[in-house]
Amino acid sequence: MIFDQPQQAVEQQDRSAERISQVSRLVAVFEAIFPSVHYRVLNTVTAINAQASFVNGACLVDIFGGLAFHPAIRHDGLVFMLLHETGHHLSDGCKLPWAHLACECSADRWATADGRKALEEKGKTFRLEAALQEIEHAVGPQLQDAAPTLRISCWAMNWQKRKRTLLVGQTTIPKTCRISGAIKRSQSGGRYGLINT
Amino acid sequence: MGSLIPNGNDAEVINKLNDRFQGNKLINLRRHIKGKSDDFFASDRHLHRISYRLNIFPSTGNRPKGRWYLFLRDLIGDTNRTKILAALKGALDDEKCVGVHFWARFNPKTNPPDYDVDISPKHPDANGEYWITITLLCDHEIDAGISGDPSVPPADNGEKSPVQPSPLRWRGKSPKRALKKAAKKAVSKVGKKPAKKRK
Repeated sequence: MIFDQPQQAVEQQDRSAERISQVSRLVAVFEAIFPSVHYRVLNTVTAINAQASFVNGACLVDIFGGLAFHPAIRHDGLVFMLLHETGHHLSDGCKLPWAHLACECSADRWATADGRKALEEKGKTFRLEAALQEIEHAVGPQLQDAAPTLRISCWAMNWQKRKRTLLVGQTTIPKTCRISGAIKRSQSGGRYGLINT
Repeated sequence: MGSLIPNGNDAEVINKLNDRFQGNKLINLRRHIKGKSDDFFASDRHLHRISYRLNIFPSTGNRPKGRWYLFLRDLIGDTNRTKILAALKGALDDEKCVGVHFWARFNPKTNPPDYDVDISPKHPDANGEYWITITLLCDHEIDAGISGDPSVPPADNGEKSPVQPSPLRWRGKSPKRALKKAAKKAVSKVGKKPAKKRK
């Protein structure tokens, strides 16, 4: 958000009618399965990323155009991304201290367990290994750009470790976020993140 | 944080800010401000200098420190600078504020492209204690081509030493410590044996 992240220029994106329809259909599926979460595709944003946020009591997932229409990201990558972001809202694992959101490892764990199960119940599937390969291919070397202290503290902050952990199914999650465990959560009734925009 | 691909520099700087503005580190910063009469977050102070004084900057990737200082100095905008300083001053002046949460998230609404800052309303608990959240709303990132300026930012008017107050201990005299010292001195004076007279 503040510092630069990998981008995919609009002219290098797959903006075909077929791709636009694929993204829309997938978002509709997620909205039907997880009705408490609102999904937005931000077409003009070229960052190869997506973000979950909690605004005015609403659970939002913003999918940036650089990721939604990236030619290297296909069905599996899109599904994993949507599950990860949904996991930030629906996981009951460890939370970020400063926002009403599950932390990274908790969101990943939810994506590959509860989220995947919820999708499968509706007859939808995805391949985790293919999803991770697509993301890795799209984002490139900038995936390993976290400070050593963060990379050591949490497997989700180190792409190679994250990939290994997810693929072998060892996504154990601590009770408190390891990268921000020293930071206390709000004691004001959990009403942080009430942002007026 | 909250992203599919967490940005290491964002996460690092947000973690450092959150860590510094709560618990004992916040108490020690309050002690410095009161004990030294250092108006740390006065409206004429500069965010990049404050960041230097608090030793908060990202450490990996593309010229992180210089770009962070430049972002706080030139890119964040004066309105946002004033809003952040006012929020921090209010939080530090009020002992009922037990901490400040910092976050950054994407905000697609601004037109023309710009940064914005949102300060959460106070929601005191039963003891009247509360947290505030300062959220930086971004609709773009620091341009990758910006080289930044990692040099030590010039001092602000009215700063008091130490330039970088320790987050772990306060170097000034606390009233309790001063009283204890005075009491100890008085006792040792009473208990002292009179010197023997030399014949």
